[in-house]
Amino acid sequence: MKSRSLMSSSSLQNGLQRRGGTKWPVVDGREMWTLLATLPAYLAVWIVRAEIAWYPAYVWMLCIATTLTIVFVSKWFSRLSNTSESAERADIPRIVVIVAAIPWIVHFAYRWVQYSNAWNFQGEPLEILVLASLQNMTLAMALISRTAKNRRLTITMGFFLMLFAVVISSHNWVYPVALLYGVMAIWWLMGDHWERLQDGFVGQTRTSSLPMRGGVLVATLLLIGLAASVAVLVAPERVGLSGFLPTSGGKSWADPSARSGVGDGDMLVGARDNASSFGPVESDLFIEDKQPSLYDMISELDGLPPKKKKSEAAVGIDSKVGKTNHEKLATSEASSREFSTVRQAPKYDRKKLADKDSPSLIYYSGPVPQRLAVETFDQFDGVTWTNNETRNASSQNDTSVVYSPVIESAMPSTQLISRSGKPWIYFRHPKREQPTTVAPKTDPPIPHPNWSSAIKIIRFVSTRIPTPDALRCLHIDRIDRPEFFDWTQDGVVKMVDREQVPALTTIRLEAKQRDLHDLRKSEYFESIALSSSDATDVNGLVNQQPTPNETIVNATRQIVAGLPRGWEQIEAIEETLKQEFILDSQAVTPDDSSDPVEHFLKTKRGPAYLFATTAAMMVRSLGHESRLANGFYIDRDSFDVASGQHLIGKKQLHWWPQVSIDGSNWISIEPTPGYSSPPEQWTLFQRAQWAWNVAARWVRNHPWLLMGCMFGLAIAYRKRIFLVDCVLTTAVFFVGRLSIERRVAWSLWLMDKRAELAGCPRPPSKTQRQWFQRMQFRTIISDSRNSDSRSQPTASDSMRYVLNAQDELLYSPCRDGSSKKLIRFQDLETLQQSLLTLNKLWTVQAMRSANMPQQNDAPKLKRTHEYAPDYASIH
Amino acid sequence: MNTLQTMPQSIESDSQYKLAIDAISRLRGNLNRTLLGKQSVVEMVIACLLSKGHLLFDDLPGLGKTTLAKSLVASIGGELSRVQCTPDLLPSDITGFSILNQKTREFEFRPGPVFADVLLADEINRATPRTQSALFEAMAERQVTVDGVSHRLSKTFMVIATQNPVESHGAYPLPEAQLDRFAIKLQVGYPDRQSELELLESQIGVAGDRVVSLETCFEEIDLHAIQEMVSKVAVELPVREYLVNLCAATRTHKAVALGLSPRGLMIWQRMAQANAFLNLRGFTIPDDVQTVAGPVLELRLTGSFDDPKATIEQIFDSVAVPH
Repeated sequence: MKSRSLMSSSSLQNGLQRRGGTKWPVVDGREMWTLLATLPAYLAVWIVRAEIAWYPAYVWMLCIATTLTIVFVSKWFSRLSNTSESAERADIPRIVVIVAAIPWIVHFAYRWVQYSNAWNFQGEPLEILVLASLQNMTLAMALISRTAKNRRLTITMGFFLMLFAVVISSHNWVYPVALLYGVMAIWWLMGDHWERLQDGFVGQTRTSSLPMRGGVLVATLLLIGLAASVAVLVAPERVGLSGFLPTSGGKSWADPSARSGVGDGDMLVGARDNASSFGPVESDLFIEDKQPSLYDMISELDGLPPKKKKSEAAVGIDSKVGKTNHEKLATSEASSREFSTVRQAPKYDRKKLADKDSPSLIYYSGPVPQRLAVETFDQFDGVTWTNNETRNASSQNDTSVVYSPVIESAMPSTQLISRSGKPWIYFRHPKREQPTTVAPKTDPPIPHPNWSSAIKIIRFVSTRIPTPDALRCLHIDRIDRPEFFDWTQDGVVKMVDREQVPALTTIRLEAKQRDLHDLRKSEYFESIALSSSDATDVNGLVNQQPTPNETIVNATRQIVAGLPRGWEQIEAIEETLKQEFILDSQAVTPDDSSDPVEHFLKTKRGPAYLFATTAAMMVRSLGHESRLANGFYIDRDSFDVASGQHLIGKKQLHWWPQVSIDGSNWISIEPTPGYSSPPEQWTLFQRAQWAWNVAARWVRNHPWLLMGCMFGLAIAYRKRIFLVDCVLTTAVFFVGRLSIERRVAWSLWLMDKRAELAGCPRPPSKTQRQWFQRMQFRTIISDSRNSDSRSQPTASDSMRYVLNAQDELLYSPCRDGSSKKLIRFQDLETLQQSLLTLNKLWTVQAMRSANMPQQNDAPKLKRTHEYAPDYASIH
Repeated sequence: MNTLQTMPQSIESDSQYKLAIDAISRLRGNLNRTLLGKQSVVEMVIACLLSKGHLLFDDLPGLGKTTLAKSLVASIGGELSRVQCTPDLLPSDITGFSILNQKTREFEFRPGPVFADVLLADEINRATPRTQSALFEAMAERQVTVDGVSHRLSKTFMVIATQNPVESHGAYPLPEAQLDRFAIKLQVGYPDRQSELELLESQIGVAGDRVVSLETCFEEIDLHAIQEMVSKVAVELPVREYLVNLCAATRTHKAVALGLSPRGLMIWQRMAQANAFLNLRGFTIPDDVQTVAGPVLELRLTGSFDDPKATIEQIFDSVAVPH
């Protein structure tokens, strides 16, 4: 008595009453206590997993999902079979295997997603996955263990998890959890101890649980001998934990997902050459490189006066950083996989290292699809695009016409802002002068969520920095002076006073996310339209454009027919070009053609730049400003799985048009088939609105189809039981084709399911014989239907016959040790006919019409001696 | 449509089995003719006989308990002895006693009524506990020890005891230890209307005792052989587990003070085997377990419940049938 009170107040009664109780799902006090003692350990491992993850929020989401899955799996599977000890023995391996597989499935699913998008989650290191499997198994065991042996095993597993978590984690939360675990576990141990004592007092003789069989003994000795010989014969350094824990100094094998531990995981090393990290500045590689660098300015600034022609703008850095070895260092232009070898080698043989080459121009890490503009052109004379810069260069008059005042005022200003100790250069778009007559209700669409990405310059020789639309700010480590950056006259960021952006420079970019929602509102467009018609005088760009010729205007008119003036028209142009034209890089315009656009409109086939040009011209014919952009288009095809970033080369060159509604914000559109714009940022409300509009349009266009669907659904709902029954019957028909034994089992399973569908599910404590015989006692399941033909068994006969066969399968002893067969059955033919009759006559409808009472108000089954077997059938 | 006819696993000859089935059919017919409209009671009686158990009738007088016992004995073809239990009945009145033979000057054993194939102990709860205890050894071990000498009883020895639940005045209720030695407790209950009409009709023109006219059933095959056949009916692991689960459930049920003992569990299994045999099956199924559960458990479960049937029902509802 006293011992029980230790467990918990509620378990006192429970424990006494349910001693050895087996009823599911009532949880025994001891089982509940085991679960409570396991939960802190389970939680602690999640803390560890969240701690080492890049994105803890994902891990916690994963935690909730995994926990729910485990609970579901455990309960579902242990509910399927009964609660006896042998059933538990059968359940545990099944459930444990399933839950242990969960982390691996998640891991590989994420890896698979990674192929398409390297953005978020990199999976988990191997040892954490193993631990996660153990963690899941522990929780599942705690949920399903009914026997004392398994409960003890569960607690031991939980102890290991907790120990692991406490040792490996430095997170503050681990300690309170560990404390909680300590309290729980001690309480559990006390309970377990008393329980053992009590069991001992009952006076059951305990047999030794370790059978000392000769074979076991020999096998154990062999194993020990093997381990000892390995330890002695093989050199200790080879035994080690070579590659066992990739994050902890394993040497022969690196896990790409490792990101912390005693040794550096790949991801940590990768920070040096990964575009998303702060690049080579933080290593000594860059400083010692012979290539012109931003950073070796120490001598140039302080020592010799820089040579005018050769000097390049750079930043001075602390001499401590520069005071490193003066031997040749490797530069890595390759992606990060190879980098780990670079990391280790300098200690031993630096000279053998070869520089790693890469054919790429740029590495990119960030969301895709994305377009990075390098150059834009705003003037088109029907054949050739030009921009201010090229025009100025051709005019040979550098100083006089550098910037027209209008354009200069439209260029964003630069500003330095320090963010967490790092210098960021912000670009502020000047507010465009608004006409006084009409003030737009809203500001120009500048959405706030930023989309950050990073590029690493490899072989890209230019002062221009490839940038996405609506660039907000950029960052190069230790470049803390805004005057390093300026805008080219065609509206691209460049570095001032340099021959090129130095190779291996990592640039972080933040752009505003694409948001066209406001543009799609007609009222916004109306206000802008008014102002832009006024602005044609002010804006030199538009004035200089030649008016698009008749062909383009007509083609545009056809496309936008019926659409209100606004962004919808531009989208219609995009869509039409994408749908009706074919991208073909070989289909160039013939030399004698004077109007490539017209030729393109005629042949409906051409390379990307013709798509872009045509779209730009069409947009112009609608009265909006447009220009042609040239740069890189990045999508999942350029993704390099090994390094987890995009490798950008010549293949990624692309042309696309940009549209400006208000004169200062350029919005890229994408008319080329096979290419797409970056996804838009939508609020939930916007999304709902859009979905509503699309749905409404669809309904307007397909009323009959919708009605048909609704009608079908209504019918399906009305006949749902029939449909489910059909599906089940078909399934049983196919599954049961294998053997007569399976057909019997599956047919009776089908009967159970049908009874459920008919609203009278068989309770687990009733045998099928009782339940279905009751049913047939209460009603006549259309025996009359086939009473004429003697050869066919009746419904009740067939049920009895099949039940007998099942009893034979389930409960009769195996004669010769082989699997059970119904060969002893006298008449297999009759059995097969019975199965057919069973499936045909015992339908859901028949069972429903039987008006079977619910489980509760059913009269007591004939379980006691009032039960009279059907002896008529015997005699 | 035939029911399955599968022999018990280790019965050597088919003919033996057929003889046994025939014998049981005849026995069933005899008993049903004697006790009208009580097929289920008759089944249980036969099952009890086949499982070598002892039978306790717990019912009102005049319901045919003694008639049933008599016709059972007549059908078996054995010897019936009857003891009317009264408070002054002595143990030696049951077991027998030794008496000094004046001629030989030696003690001679005079066997008591217990040396018979069937002992009918009427109103057993009227005998003193001392006398009741005299039956212990006979029921459990099928032998009696008088003056230090053990005497074997008949191989098919069976005790059929009756007790009257109504008149408790001057009665000694059977202790749990003794109750546990019976296999089952049966209530005969009133016959239905149709059976009573038939009963009256059958009595017209009959002057003597009906039972006498019954034919013996076990001439061609020994009852003991059939009992051995029953003991060989297979009980596979799922069914055994089911039995153990049910047994555990009786011990954990709230209202039950004293659950099923291991001896009770063994008897339960044997009864289930007998029921399977009676249903011409060579193996036991959960239905058998449930069918015989009432008589087996009602005898043994004690506690604070009014309706033993409802309690048994609850116990069964808490345990899933094996599949």
